[in-house]
Amino acid sequence: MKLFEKLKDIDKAAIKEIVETPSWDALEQVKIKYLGRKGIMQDAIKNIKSVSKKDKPKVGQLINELKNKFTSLIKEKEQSFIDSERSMFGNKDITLPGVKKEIGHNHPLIKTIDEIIDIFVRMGFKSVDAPEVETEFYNFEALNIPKDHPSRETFHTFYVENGMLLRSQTSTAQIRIMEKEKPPLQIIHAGKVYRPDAVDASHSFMFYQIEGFMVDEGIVFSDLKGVLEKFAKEYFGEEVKMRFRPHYFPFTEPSAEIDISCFICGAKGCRVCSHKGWLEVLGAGMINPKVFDAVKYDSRKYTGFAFGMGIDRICMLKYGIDNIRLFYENDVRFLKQF
Amino acid sequence: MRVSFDWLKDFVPIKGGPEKTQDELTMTGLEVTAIVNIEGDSVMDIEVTPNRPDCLSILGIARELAAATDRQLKVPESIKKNYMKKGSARRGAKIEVQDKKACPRYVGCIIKNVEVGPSPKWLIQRLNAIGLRSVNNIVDITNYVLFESGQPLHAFDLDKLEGHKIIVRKARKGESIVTIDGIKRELDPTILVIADSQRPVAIAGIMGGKDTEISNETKNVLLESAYFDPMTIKKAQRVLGLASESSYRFERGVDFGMVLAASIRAQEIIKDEAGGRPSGKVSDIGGKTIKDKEIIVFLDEIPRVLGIDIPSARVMEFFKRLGLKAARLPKNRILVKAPSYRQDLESEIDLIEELARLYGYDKIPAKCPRFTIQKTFKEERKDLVALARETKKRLLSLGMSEIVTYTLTPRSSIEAMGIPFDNLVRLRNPLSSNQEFMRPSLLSEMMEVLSWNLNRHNSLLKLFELSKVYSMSKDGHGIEERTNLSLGVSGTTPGNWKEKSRDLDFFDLKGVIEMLLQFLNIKNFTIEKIDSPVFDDTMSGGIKIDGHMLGEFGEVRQGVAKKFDIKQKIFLAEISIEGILKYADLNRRFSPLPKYPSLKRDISMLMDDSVEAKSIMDVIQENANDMVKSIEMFDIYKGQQIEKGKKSLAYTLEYRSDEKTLKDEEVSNVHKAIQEALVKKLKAQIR
Repeated sequence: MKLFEKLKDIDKAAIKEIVETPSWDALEQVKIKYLGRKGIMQDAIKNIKSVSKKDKPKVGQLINELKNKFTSLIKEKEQSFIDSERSMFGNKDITLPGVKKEIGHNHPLIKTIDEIIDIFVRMGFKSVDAPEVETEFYNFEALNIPKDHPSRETFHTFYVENGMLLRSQTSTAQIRIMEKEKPPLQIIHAGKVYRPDAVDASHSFMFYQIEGFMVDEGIVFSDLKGVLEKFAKEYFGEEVKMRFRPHYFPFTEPSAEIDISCFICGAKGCRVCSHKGWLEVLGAGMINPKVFDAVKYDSRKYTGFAFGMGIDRICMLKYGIDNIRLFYENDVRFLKQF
Repeated sequence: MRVSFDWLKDFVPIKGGPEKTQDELTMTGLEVTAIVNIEGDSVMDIEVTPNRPDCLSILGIARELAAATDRQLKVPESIKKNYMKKGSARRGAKIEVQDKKACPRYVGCIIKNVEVGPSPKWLIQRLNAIGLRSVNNIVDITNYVLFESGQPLHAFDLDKLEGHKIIVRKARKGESIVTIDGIKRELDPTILVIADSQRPVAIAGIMGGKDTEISNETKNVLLESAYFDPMTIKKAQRVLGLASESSYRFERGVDFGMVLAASIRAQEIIKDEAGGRPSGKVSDIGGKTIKDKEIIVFLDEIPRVLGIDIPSARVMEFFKRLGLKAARLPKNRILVKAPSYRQDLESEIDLIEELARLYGYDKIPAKCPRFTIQKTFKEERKDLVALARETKKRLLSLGMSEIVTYTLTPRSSIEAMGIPFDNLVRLRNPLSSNQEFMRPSLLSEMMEVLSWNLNRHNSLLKLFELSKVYSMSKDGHGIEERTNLSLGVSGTTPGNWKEKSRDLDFFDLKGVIEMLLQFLNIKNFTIEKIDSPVFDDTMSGGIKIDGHMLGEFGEVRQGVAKKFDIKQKIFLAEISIEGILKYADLNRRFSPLPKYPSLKRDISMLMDDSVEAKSIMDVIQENANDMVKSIEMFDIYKGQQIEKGKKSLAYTLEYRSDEKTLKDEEVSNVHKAIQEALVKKLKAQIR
């Protein structure tokens, strides 16, 4: 068993030598030393005749195992030299590509919301949250939408089994805040809203809105214009023009729809603005005294304005996205662009 | 509504081309969304807001244009003369209104000896321009007056009316009618009908019956002009699934004062164009002169709402242009009387809006409001907002991209996730079964997104979503909305010429979670075994803080992934943001930088493969003193070079003191003690 013991020692020594070999040349020497024609393993094979017949197979097997083990260890070591050289060789060629890391991307809708909210917060608005599942009071009654109004029908609003509903507009936030807090109020709120529209390139049953409102003594229509003009210039660009068109919303009066000059064609008329030169981006108005009645504010004392906008649409306009479905598919090739 | 430019010219002088008119109408609140050219005429598409049914006619549009531009409105003589008038209830036609609530006014008129035939060219042209096809002269004239005045009319063949009689009543059970479109419609007692002595001959306000329609053989006509209750018409429309140009106007409310005038206007044209001989007698059932609505405007209110002063003379002029009678009252008040076509005008604010419109929204100057510093609201939840913002920022920096998915989810997804149906929020009227429930978890949508991307060979997927989940509250009345975070990891890293590409795995996900919790200063969490229908039994864990399980993560079971058409390994996490809120601390306190250098010592050892990393860490920590500032595992190996059933592990320990530079032997003593403990407790072989 002398040879057998010796082989065990060889094993230990060889592993250490191979692992610690610093260079190609040294590795070559180690290879010759153990696996060469006159190497240690060859020597061991020659010495096998000194082993008793009984032990011969066992020792033979061990020799084979060790030879294989050393061969593969040397291969591994060679590979590690190759790897480290690969990482070294290019370092003098500055035209090689830089090493890039994958970064995380904001979703364009959320990015749009964040940017818009930031603008209003800088002006002095406070950003708040509000529930998405609501009662008829918050979504309709308090907002002066009467019982027989078409929007209350089931094909315009999602209803929950317990009689609540998925809010169809973020104006619910007006009621939520006003019934708990007293003026002066400068509020901005972003969130999801729901309408049972079949999904197509420009419709989705879920989308985002931003609602803003301001209530105090002495708030006038001119203030609404001032705030929204500031917003439009900040978000769409200083050169953008704005126009207020009379419109109707139950919860505001006077009400307006607000267009901005088309920033894609410079108001010359293009496919995006339907050749009108204007893009409709906001709905707004002075808060209807009936809404103040619903939250028990004195409408002879306070006035206020409110505005709302569809984020999906604004985001599509801003980035030239032609299909709303892209937002909700979350293809990473899409997300990476933002 | 479609409006012919040529037709409009009959009612109001037009200056400039269609584009100028488009602009004038748009800026007064009647948005012209398109202009098309039809046979030399410009036809405008006008969006009429639901509060202004009076603008669903050429006359109504002309009225607005005249008011906005201060031009003279031209109204046909017969309408002008009979507007707001009450007809006699003489024996013009036999009319019996049984349901006065649903039909407050019914004007019936008999026209004898008409010659039914094709319409004159001018009439056909006008109807074509607004998209109507010519039927015959009588029907065309009723349509013409409908679009001109906004008052729907219907002509019956008098000789086909049993008993030559009209009865306005609710339909009887089992009654039906074949409407002029040839479809048989079953009626029910909520539906108002026009009947003769035998049967319904029209569905009131919606559509006439086939049997009594005007044909080439018609000699005598009964012309109907009525006011039907908007709610009655709306309900009938819904029950029948049927709408028409007439019902569109009735459901919004027609002009009570126009009912007689429109009838007489139609009679006049029929006489001219179809040779009819009106009896001159009408039966005006329910006709009455209605009083104008009176509204008082305080002049002070105008600047209080609009921010501008409009001189009172200007105010009076605006009201006059709008056709509103206005009179000054003492104490700076104005009494305004609104005619019956302006049903929308009810209160002072409605009139202020009218003034703003005529003044011109664009002429109201913009100014900066007086802002006030907002106090903190009771329910503001600033901490939650801050936590969400920090979470998002950190995840983006860790290379995770944000997704936004629908919050409505199908039953199959909930079943796939093994979530019980007890407290789910279910919609009563989903668009399809794909949106039946409000989601109780973010995981199924994350899987949908991973599946979408994997199917498109988008190979590096590191995604997160911060969104609400929904459940019924315990009492069953309310609904709870809570904010969750989901993470999804799958695919391979891109690799480059320095680093090989490799598969993302469980530990990539775990690393994100650990770093996130570290960023949020949450230290006392443990990872516990979980029993989940979604996650693999071995490669999964729950995040437990202070005894609460606040999140789960791991490799998704193959069977679950397969339901989302995913064959690859995917790794997901879902964490309750509200849950970790209590433990997160976004405040930072500065710790002084070390004054003395640290010493690093490694431990390399062989260990039974069955020993978990956590037990090793525990032993090291138990035997370390406060000199040990960090413990990092930097290598793990199993394979050919070492014994079967064993693994080789390597740790680096960093030693440092805040008081002095450590000496070698001070470190060696502790390091040795740690090594000995590892040998003793975990049978480590130190190498």
